[in-house]
Amino acid sequence: MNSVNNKPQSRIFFGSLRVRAIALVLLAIFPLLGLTFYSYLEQRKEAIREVQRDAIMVARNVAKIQETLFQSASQLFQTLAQLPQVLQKNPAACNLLFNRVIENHEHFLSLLAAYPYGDIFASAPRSSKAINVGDQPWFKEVMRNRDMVIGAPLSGRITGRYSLPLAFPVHDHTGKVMAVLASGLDLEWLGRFIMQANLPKYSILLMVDRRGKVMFGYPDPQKYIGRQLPEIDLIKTMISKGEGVADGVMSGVPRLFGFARLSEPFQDFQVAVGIPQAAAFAGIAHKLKRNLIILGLVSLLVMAAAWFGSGFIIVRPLQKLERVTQQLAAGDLTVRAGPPYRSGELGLLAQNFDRMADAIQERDSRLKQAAAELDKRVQELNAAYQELEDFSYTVAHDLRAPLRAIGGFSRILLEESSKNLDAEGIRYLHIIQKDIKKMGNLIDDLLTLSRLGRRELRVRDVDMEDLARSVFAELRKKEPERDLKVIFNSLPVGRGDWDMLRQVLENLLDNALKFTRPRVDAVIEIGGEVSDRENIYWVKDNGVGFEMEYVPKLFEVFQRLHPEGEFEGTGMGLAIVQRIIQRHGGRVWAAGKVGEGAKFCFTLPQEEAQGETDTPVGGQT
Amino acid sequence: MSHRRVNILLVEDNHQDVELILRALQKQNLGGKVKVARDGAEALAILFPPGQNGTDLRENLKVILLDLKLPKVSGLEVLRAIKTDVRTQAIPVVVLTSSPQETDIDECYHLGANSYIVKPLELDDFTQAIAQLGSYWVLLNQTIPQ
Repeated sequence: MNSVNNKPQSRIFFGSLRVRAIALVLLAIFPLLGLTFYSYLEQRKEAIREVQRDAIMVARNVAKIQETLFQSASQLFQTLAQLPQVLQKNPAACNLLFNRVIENHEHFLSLLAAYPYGDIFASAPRSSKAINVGDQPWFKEVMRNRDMVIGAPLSGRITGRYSLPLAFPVHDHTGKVMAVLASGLDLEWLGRFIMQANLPKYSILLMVDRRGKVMFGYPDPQKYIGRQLPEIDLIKTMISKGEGVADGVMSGVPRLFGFARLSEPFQDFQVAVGIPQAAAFAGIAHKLKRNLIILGLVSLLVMAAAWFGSGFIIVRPLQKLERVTQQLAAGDLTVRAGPPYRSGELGLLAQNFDRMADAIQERDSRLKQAAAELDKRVQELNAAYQELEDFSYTVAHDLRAPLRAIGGFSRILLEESSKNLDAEGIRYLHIIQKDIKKMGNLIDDLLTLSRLGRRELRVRDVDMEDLARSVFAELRKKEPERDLKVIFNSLPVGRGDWDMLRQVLENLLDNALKFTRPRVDAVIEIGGEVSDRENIYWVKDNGVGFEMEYVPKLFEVFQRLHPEGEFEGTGMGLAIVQRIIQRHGGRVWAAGKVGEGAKFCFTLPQEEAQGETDTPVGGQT
Repeated sequence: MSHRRVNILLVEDNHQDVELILRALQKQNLGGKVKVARDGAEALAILFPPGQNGTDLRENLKVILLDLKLPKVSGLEVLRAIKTDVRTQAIPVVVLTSSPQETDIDECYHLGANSYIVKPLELDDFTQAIAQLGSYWVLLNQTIPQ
């Protein structure tokens, strides 16, 4: 019952309101998506700032710690340099002292005291061998500088651990360097501290000196310590700036750097913390992912809501309306979309639809009423016409019987009893005979005319030329002695009722013969042609003709243009012709001039369908 | 009246026509062999009398002249009765009527009429037609043996 199924599915699908609703939802989701990405980018920027803040903070802290370490080492050295054990260069006492110090300061891996020429006289942890450090760069430097020196990092000769050598000169009262105190600052301790700072994975920490040489690196100290890194440009930039943030690639990883310089007197050292960008963005990337998933889910929900909601709110009422429309189109004018009506445009649509349906129904009923009235009128007319036909038929039929009796008995009277009659009586009987014959013809014509209304047309191809020739030959027999010229042009084959067309030709040719009788050079011509949608036939004579103003009267029943004495006839021949041609759907017309002749034309439609006008009403009879 | 001599049954309600027909038949010396029925009911009563009677008449009948427009029972009904009854269906029936209507003609032939003649208006034509009818059916034509 649903004819929607007959339509192409794709058109229905893409054109459907539901899909449009979904498209609208998608359209609304796009800005949300944009917003999500925008906020992601903002968060990324924020994350970068945050990470940079973290990095610089850590860098500052590390620098601070390092500074503190250096300061505390410096203070420790100053204190030790004034202690008698050191000033007296008492190895046993110094060893004891140094051991205690190391135990209390875990960031010092070792502590030693050496003579100005390099031999160590005390150390903790104690070494059994006699060691000379005179060749060490830091020792040479401290002897030269006569102040605290921070040396290049070392892989611990004693401990096997990375340490930063710190050296301090011990002056005698004359100011001369009498001994050198040295210590190894545990660099792993710094590493451990950084681990506690909770830096993201794969972060790196560097401490470099003024020339960019790495003092310390974390993790994997052995990779960095004592070297100049390939990323020296980046490091130099940081050194020149002192403190701040930067981004660059280190060890093949894009990083965000925070860096800080140690303060005086350790300003030669610089700390840098590099956090991988990936780590910085991990959180927000995750957040973005989460947001996108949420957005996706919400979108799906909204789309589902749109799908089912539009089904409820739009599609279903529209489908109902469509159903109603189809029913209406199928002819059920009583269907309505409501009430009740929804609110809004769909409700309005349904209401307007119903108003339209009301109007259609109203008009339909009026139309039906009018049609019924018309039908009734037509039936009445048909009945009246039928009655008329029946009447004329009955009249004609019933007139024949008495006429036959009158004629028969007057004839018998004339034949068998004429000896009893005088001449006048016999003349009267002859008049009666003649008039009876006339009346017989009249009745025959009336019968023919009324029969035309009753009989069904038996349409077929009719060879009009052949028919005309045979009719003419038949008529010619009545007056074989007449001298006249007849011209037969070729006639197109017509479609019609053979008997009726024969009647037409008979009447027209009979007229032509009749009205040329006064002529000595009578000419009758018959012709025809194929026109646009009809065949035209004509019969022309050079007889007495008629005045054109009487043309309309020619085809009326019982109309005569000549006195009866002059030309015999009932005045019905042309009425019959017109009636027959009208029933065939053709036209009849005539042209003529008094004393010059007449031309009668009629047409037959080429398609039989348009021929039959079954309603016997009409005609000019 | 003995049925032995009756060769023609004329079914006709119009007295004048009856007279003219009889006059025409007398010219062939057939006048005495005619029995006239004035309406359809009478015709049927003559053809199908109650009991076993009527056989003689039916066997001697050479032709039935039948008008169509008859009181009580129409000519068409009489024709149908004749042509559907085994006892009479072999008797030739000539429809003799004033009606030149095609439907009547068709109907009559359909029902089994042997001939259909429109009564001529002219006395000579009329007389000649009837006379020919009589001579053809009664004098020349032999009834199909039953």
